[in-house]
Amino acid sequence: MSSILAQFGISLSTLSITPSAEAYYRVIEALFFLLIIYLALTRAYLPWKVREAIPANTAASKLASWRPAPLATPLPPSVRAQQPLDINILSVDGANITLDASHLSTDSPTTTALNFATNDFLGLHAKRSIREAARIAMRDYGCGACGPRGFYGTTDLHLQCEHRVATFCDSSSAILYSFGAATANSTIPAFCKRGDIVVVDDSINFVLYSGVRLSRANMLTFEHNNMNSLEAVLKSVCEKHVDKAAVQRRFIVVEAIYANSGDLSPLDEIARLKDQYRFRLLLDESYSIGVLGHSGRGALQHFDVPRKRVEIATADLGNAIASVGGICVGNAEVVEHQRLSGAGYCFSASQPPFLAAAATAAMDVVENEGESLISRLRSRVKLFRDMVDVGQLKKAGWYLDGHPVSPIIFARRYDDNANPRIFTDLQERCLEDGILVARPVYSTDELKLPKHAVKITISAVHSDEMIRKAAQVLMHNLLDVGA
Amino acid sequence: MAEKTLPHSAYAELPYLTALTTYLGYAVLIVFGHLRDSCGKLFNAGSYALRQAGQLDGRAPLLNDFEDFYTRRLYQRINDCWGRPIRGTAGAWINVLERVKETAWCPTSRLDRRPYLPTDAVVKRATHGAPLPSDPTGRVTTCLNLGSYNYLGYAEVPGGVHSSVTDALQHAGVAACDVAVSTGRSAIVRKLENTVAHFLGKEQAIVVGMGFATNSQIIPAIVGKGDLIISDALNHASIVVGARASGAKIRVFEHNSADSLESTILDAIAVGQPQSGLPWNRIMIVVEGMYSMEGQTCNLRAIVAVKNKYGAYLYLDEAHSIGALGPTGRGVAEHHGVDTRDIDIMMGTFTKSFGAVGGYIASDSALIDRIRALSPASLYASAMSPPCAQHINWAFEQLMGKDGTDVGKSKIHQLRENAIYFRKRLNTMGVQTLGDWDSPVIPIMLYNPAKIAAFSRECYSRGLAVVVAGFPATPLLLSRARICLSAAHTRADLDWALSVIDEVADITQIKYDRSFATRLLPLSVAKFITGNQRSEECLSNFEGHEYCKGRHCLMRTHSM
Repeated sequence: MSSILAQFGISLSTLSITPSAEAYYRVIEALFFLLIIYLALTRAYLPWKVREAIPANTAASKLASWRPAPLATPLPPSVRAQQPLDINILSVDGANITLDASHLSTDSPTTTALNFATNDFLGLHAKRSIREAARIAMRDYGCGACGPRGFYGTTDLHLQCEHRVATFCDSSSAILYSFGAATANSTIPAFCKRGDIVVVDDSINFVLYSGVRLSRANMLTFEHNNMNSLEAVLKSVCEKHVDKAAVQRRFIVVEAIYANSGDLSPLDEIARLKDQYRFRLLLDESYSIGVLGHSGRGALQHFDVPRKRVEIATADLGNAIASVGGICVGNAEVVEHQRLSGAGYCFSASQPPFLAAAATAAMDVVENEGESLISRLRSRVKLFRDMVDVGQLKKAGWYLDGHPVSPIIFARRYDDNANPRIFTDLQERCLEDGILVARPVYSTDELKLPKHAVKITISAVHSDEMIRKAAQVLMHNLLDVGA
Repeated sequence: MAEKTLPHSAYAELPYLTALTTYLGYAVLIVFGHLRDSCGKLFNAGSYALRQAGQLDGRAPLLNDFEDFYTRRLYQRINDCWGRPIRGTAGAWINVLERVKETAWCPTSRLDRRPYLPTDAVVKRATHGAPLPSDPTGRVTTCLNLGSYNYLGYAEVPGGVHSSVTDALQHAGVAACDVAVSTGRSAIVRKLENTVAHFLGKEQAIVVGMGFATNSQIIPAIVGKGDLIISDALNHASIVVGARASGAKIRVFEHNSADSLESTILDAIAVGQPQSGLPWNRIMIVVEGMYSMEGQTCNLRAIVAVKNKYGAYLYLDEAHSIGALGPTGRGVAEHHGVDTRDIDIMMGTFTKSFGAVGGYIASDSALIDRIRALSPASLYASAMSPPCAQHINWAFEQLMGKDGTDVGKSKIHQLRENAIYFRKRLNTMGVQTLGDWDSPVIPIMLYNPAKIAAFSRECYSRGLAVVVAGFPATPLLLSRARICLSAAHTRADLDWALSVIDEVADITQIKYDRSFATRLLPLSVAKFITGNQRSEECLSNFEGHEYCKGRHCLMRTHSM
C-alpha cells in the first residue's frame, strides 16, 4: 500500500496519522481523489471518436473497401406475391364504387362494383349532412390549418370537435390528432417510459405495437384474449416488482375490436383485472366506435363499463366516423399532458378544419340515429354470417375470423403455408363478379404476424340483396380457389 | 447592416450578461416552483392536492416528476402564448378567439357575430361567473398573422377553395375510409403522386396523409439493422422518431457542418458496426432543407459533395422549403443549384406552402415500390382525404403555370421579396435574427424566459400574432420568437408589423444588436435621444391600411 502511495509522492508519514482505521479511510479518499484527477485528464471514451486509435492503414483500407449496398433492392418474390390488386378508384358513392377497369378483361374503361372493402361501417361517407358540414367548413376555413395546434393551427372547429368527442365518449376531455396512424403511437410513449411495464395482447395492431416499442418500456405479452394468461402476467409483474409499485407505471394495452382479426376483447374482465392488480388500461377503439354498444358509443357501452375505469382510450377517425384523424380520450391530466408530450400532436400540423367539422357532424349523426344505424349494421353482419356456410368452407380449408358483432370479417386458410398469391387472385375474382373486397397486407415487423386474408367489410348501407350477392360470390370463389 | 453574415452557432451572438440573466431567470422560476410545491405538499393545496388525489389508488403517478414540474411551474405560467384558437382561414390576417385568461390585456377585441361557446358546460360556467382560463369569451381579435406556415398564401384562397376541390368533396367524399394499399388508391391521389414526381424530377412518389407520419413511418421502411443514419443535430422530431423506429444505428453531426459530417462518416466507416466491426450496410444522411426554428437552409452543396465522395445516401426533408425556396418553388435543391439526381430521397410536406396536409417521398421507382409494399405509412394509415389531394393538385398547377396565369410565379416572387425586406428592416432595427438573409422564416432572439411571454403578449395586444418558442423546443438559453412570412402579406402589412415589433422590442429590451448603453436607458429617454416617433407612425400606417377600411380598427382603443 505504501509503495503505491509513494508513487504519487505521498507517504503515510506525511498524513501524520497513525495507521489506524481512520488513516485507511484517508488513504482511500486520497485514492479516489487521484482517480478523479486521472479520469479528468484522460480522454473520454467515445466509440465514435476512435478513428485516431485505429491504425491509419486499417482505417484507410476499410474506407477503400467499403461498398454501400444499393438503396433499394427489388421486392423479394414472397412480398411481391402478396401485393393486392393495384386498383384505381375513381369514385365512391355509398355501396357503389367506380374503378378504372383498364387492366380488367372488360370493354368499358370503367366498371362499378359493390363496395365491401372500405371501413365505412355506418355509411357516413355518403351522408349529405356530413359532406355539407365539410363544405361549409372548407368555405370558411380553407383547406389546411397551416400550422401545429400550438401555433395558430387550432380553430374553433377543432375545439368543438374535441368537446364533441368528449361528450360522445362520456369523458371530461379529449384530444384530437391529425392522423389516426399517429395517435396511439404518440399516446403510448407520452406516458410509458423506460422502466415502466406495458402488458399487451399478442395480437395488437401495428400502430399500438410501434408505440410500445418507441416508448422503450418493458413489454410483456399475454395470449390473445386469454384472461388466465393476462392474470398470470399481471400477477408475476406485481410479485416481481413489488418494491417499485410506487414509481413504476403499469399499463395494459388492448383493442376493443382487433384490427387484425375482428375479435372482441372481454373488456369487463380486463377492467376487473387491471383494477385488482393496480394497472392502467389503454384501449384502442378504432374499430369499435360507431360499431359497439346499442347506440354506437363503443366498447364501454357494449360492456357497460364506466368511462373512468378506462384511463386512456384512442381511436382512428378514419373508419366508422368517415373522416381523417385520431382521438384520445381520458381525464384532464391525460389529455393536457399530450398537448406538450404527444409527438404526433405537438410536432405535426393540425388536422384540416373541414375534417374536424366532418367528424363532429358524423358524431352528431351517430348520436341522433345511432340505434337504428347500429341495429341495421348488426342485422347485415348477421345476415352475411348466416349466408356463409361455415361447414362447407371448413371442408375446403377456409375459416372466417372475427366475433359475430364485428363488421370486419377475414377469410383465412387453416393451412399456414398457403400460397399468398391465392388471396390476391380471390380479390380479383370477386371484383370480376362485381364485389370489391380488401386484401390486407401486414408488415413483417408485426408483433404476431397475422395470416394472409381477404377482408370483407359490412356496412349499414348494404341492402339485403347486396349482402346476399356478396356472400354468394365470396362462397363461390373461396370454394373454387380452395379446391 | 444589409446582408448580415450568418453566425456559425446561434450562441455566437449571445451577450454574456444576457446569458447570465437568462440562467438567473430559470433559477428563480425553479426555486419558486419548488417553494410552491413544498407549500402545496405541506398544506395539500392547489395543483398539488389534485396530484395527491390521483395517486391514492396505489398506482404510480402518471407523469414523471420533472415533466410534471416543468408543466405546472414553468409552462403553465405562460401557456396563453400557445394554442390560441382562431376562427376562419390562417391567411395574412386571422381572427383570434379571446380566452378568459386574455381578457385583462386584450383590449382590442370585438364581439363576434357568432359567439363561440362550444358546450353547455362552458355556458354554465360563464353564467355562474366561474369560467376556466381557457374558456372562450365569444370575442375575437383580428391580428396580422406572422405565425402560420402559409408561405405561398394557399391557406386562404381568394374567393374560397377552388371549385375542383369542392367537386372532389362531392365525388369522393370527405375521406377514403380505408388504408390505401389494401383496396387501391384513388385517382386523385395517383395524379398527385405523378405530379410530385414530375415536379421534382424523380421517377416516382408516394403521398401520405400526414407529414409527421411520412418521416416517422417511412424511414423504417428504407433503412434497418446494419444501416447507419447520420442525422443533423437539429432535425425535426418526426425524423428522430422514424430513425429510432427503424432499428438502424444513429449518429448525430453538428448542425449544418459538412466537416463534422465528413468526420462522422470517416469514423463510422473506420470503426464499422458496433461489437461485430462489420462494415455498414448503407449510410444514410438525413438533413432538412430549411430548419424551421433557425430560418436557415441546409448547406446542401457541401453535404452532397461529402455524400458523393463516400457513397452515402441523402434523405432531404423539405417540409419548409418545398414551394418556399427556389425561383420556381422547387425547394432547396433549386435554391442552391443542386441537381435533384444527387438527392436520393426527397421528402416534403403539403402543410406549409400548399395550405393542405400530408407529405410525400419522391425517389427511384425501386425504392417507392418497396415503401408502398413495406412501410407502415402505406400498410396501416388512412389514405389522404380526396379534397386535400385535389387542393394540392390545383396549387401545383398554379405553381407550374399550367392554369395559364402567372399567379403561382408571382407568389414565389412576392414571398422572396417580403422575406428580404422584412429581415433587412429587422436588422436595422437592432434585434438579433437568425438564418439566411433571404429565408421566409425569421427567428428573433429573446433569450430571457420572461421575454417569451412578454413579447408574445405585447404583440398580441397590439394585433400582431407571432409564435414564440422556448425550452425544450429550443436550447435553454436560446428562446426566440419566430416570424413566418407569407406571399399573402402586402408591403403595408409588413410595415405595420415592423412598427409594432419595433415598439415591442423596445419594451422587452431585445435590441441586442444596439449598443449596450442605449439598451440600458429608459425607453422614454432613448426615444428622446433618437427622436423616435414610431408610435405615431405605427398608428398612421395602420389607419391608412386598406384592410382597416370598413372593418373594426384594431388600434383604436390602444393608447399609444
